[in-house]
Amino acid sequence: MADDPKNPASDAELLAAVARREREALSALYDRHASVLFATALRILGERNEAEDAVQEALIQIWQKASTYSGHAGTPFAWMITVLRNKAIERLRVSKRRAHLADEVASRTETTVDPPAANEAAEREGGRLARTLVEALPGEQRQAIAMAFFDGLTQQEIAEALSQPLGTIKARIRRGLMKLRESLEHRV
Amino acid sequence: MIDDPRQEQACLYVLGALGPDEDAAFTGALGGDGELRALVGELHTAASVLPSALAPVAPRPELKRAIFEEIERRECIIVESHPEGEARDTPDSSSKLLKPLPAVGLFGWIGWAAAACLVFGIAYIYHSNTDVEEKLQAVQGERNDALREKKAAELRIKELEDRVAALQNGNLKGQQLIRLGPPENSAPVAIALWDQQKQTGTLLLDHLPAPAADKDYQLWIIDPKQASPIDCGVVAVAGNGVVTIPFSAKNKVGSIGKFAITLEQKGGVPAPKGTMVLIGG
Repeated sequence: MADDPKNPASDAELLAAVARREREALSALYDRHASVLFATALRILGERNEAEDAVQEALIQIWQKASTYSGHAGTPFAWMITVLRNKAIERLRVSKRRAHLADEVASRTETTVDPPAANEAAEREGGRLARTLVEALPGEQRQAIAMAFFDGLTQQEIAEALSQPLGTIKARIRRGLMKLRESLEHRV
Repeated sequence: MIDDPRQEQACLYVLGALGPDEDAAFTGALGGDGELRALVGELHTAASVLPSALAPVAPRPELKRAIFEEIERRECIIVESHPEGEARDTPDSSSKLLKPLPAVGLFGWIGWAAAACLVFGIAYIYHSNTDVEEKLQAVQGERNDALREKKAAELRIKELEDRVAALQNGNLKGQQLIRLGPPENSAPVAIALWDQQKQTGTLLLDHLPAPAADKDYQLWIIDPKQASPIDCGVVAVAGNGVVTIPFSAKNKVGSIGKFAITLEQKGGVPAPKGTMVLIGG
C-alpha cells in the first residue's frame, strides 16, 4: 500500500516498474522500505555491516528478479522481505554465531518485539498495527515463529532448543501464523 | 480444502523451518496445487507482519548509493532521460499495458556504444580525424532508427486500441484491455479485450505472419490461481494485416494474469509446448 505522499504509487506498481528496469521505481521502493528491511537484517544478523551487506544483496536481487514476482509470494512487500530474509539467513548460517544460536535464542522470552531503536520517532502507523497483531499472539507461538523467521532455525532445532516435542512446535507455528493471516484478512 | 497437516507444512515452509528434503518435497507439491499456492501467498503476507512490528532502523545514507553503483557496475545501465515531447506510456484505468523489456536493454547498449564512440569522437575531432566522425554518425543513425521504430510501434498500438474502442462503441466499462508484446522487439503486436463476466474476448493481431503449414498459433490465459495455462484455442492468421478474432476460454477464468500466444503443432495442443510469440498482462 502506498502511504508515501511523495510517491503515491503502490508497491505493486513500483515493482512492475522495476521489472521494466526503471531505476526510479527501485529508488522509491528503497526509500519506502529501507528502514524495515535494515531493521530486519539487523535483527537477524546483529551487526550493522553484515546487515547493510544483506540489504544490498537483497536490493540487487529484487532489481534482477522483479519480473519473476507473482501473487504466490504474497504482497510485493512480503516478497521483498522474503528476499531480504533469505540473504540474511544465508549470511547467518555461515557465520560463527550459528553454532551457539540455538542456546542463545532459547533464553529469550520476548523475541519479536525489540526495544525501540534510534528511529522510534519514525515508527509508522503500519508498524503499530503490526506490533499489535504480533503481541496478540500467545507468547509461546510468538517465540516459535520468531525463532524460525528471525533466527533461521528449523522446526527440529526449535524443538530441541526449547525442549519441546516436534509436534508441539509445529502446532504453535501453525496456529500463530494462521492467526496472523486471519487477523490481516479481517482488516482488509 | 487444505487439512491441518498441509497447513502446518505450508506455515513451516513460509518460515523456512522445514528441513531440506521436506522443503524440496513441498516446493514440488506447490506446482500442482493452486489452492496450496494461494495459501502460501497469504502466509507470506502474514509473515511480513513480523518485520513490520520491529522498530524501523535507517541504514547509512551511503548504502543506497552503494546499491545503485553496484547495479550499474553489473549491468552498465545508462539511465535515459526522455526528451521533451516524447510520450511516456501511462496506464489508463481500463487497460493493462506491457512494454517489451529487452528493447530497452538493446537501446541501452546502443546508447552505451554511442556514448563510448562520442568520447573518442571528441578527441579525434579535436585532432581533425574524420574516420571516427563517420563511425559516430553511423551509430547515431542506428539510434535514431531504433527510436523511430519504437515510435512507429507505439502508433500502431494506439491504432489498434482505437479500433477496439470503435468495436465496442467506445464502451470499455467492465472489460479489460491487455496489450501483448513479443519477448524480443520484433514487429507483431496484439491487443486482447477480455470480458470477465461473459468469459469471452476479442483478440486483435497486427503483423503476425502466417505460420508454417504444420503449425498453428494458440492463445492462452495465465490465471495466477490455476496450475496450468487455460486454452483459448487456435488463432487463425491469414496474412500480415490486422485480424480481429473472437475467443473464449476452455475453462473458467478467475482472473487474468497474462495472455500468451505460442506457436504449436497444427490443430493445437492441450498444454503449451511451443515457442512463445507474444505475451502480455
